[in-house]
Amino acid sequence: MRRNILVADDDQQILELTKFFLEQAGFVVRTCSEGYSALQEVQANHYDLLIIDISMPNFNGFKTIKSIRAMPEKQDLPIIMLTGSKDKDDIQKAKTLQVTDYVIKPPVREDLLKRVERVLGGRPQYFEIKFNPEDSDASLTGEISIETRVKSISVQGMILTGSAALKKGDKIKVQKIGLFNILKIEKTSFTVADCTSDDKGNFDYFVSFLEFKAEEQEVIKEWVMAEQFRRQNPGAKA
Amino acid sequence: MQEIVSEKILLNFIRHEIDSNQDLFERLYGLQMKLIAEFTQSKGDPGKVVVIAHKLKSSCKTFGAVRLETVLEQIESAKNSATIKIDPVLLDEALTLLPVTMETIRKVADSVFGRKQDSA
Repeated sequence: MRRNILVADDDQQILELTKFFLEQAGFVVRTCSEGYSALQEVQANHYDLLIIDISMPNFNGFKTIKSIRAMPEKQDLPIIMLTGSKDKDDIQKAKTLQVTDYVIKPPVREDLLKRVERVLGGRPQYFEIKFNPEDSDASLTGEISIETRVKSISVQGMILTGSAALKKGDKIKVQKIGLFNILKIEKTSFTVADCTSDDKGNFDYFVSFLEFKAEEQEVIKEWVMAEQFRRQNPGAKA
Repeated sequence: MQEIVSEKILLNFIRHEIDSNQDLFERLYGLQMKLIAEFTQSKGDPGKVVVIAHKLKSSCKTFGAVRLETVLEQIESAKNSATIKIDPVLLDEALTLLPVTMETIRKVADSVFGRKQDSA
């Protein structure tokens, strides 16, 4: 199925170029030249991705994204921000608004398509970490996903709690989509019972690699500690 | 001194980025000319000048217009001060570079697509 992408920018050249790159790659593209039209488009039609410029006159990109995120059914819409520079404030603001990724203007075809495909799940990036193979009993295999936006960790759609048992000595594969907060750990299991020095190091690296925010790291660490406690004290209540 | 247009960047853009698509190139070139006209007409309005300089800078990067890109970047940086004041020397330099740059881009494009009839 062809994916629908909406591109919003007040710069006609950027619109032409972005549309060309995306259409050549097989996407269905619609364009608009200001934020409010983009908002109306997103409200009225289905899009798999919104690519939007930040500095547009009147209703700018941030206002548009904020309004989109306020719509419950559009909270998960992937958004790529078009920006003229790597301005730290803009990036921070984008993170707050759950922007998935950003592209520096003018877009370069290879970079743009790489990011779009990554955001739409076309070409996932994997990162592999090995945990302690000496670990104890085991139980769970399946698709684990970490959704930092709602601060939950789930396996095959079921939210994990501290008591979730995980398989020993296995590997995890982490899919990182875009630069920000959408993460997935796929078809694997994850040993947390023996996060000793090396593993702890790995775990910290894993957490920092994925760019969790401090409070999100805390949530995950708490979960790991609860799991460690459960394994070290079978039968005890955490 | 920095070259006016990097032929390497421009040729890469035409041949590899837009797959030698002449229609697209002409549309982008036309939009660039339109922006340049707006820039020239707005030279007395610093607020407008920085906004157009920002857009022009982006397309200069696309076309490999490296020297103009540098000057426009300096002009655009005026937006960061409380009252926008544009250095007249920079503005003059941009106004001088604009036609020369577009002419150079046209020549390189013509060498790829063949001479454009209505540009003679």
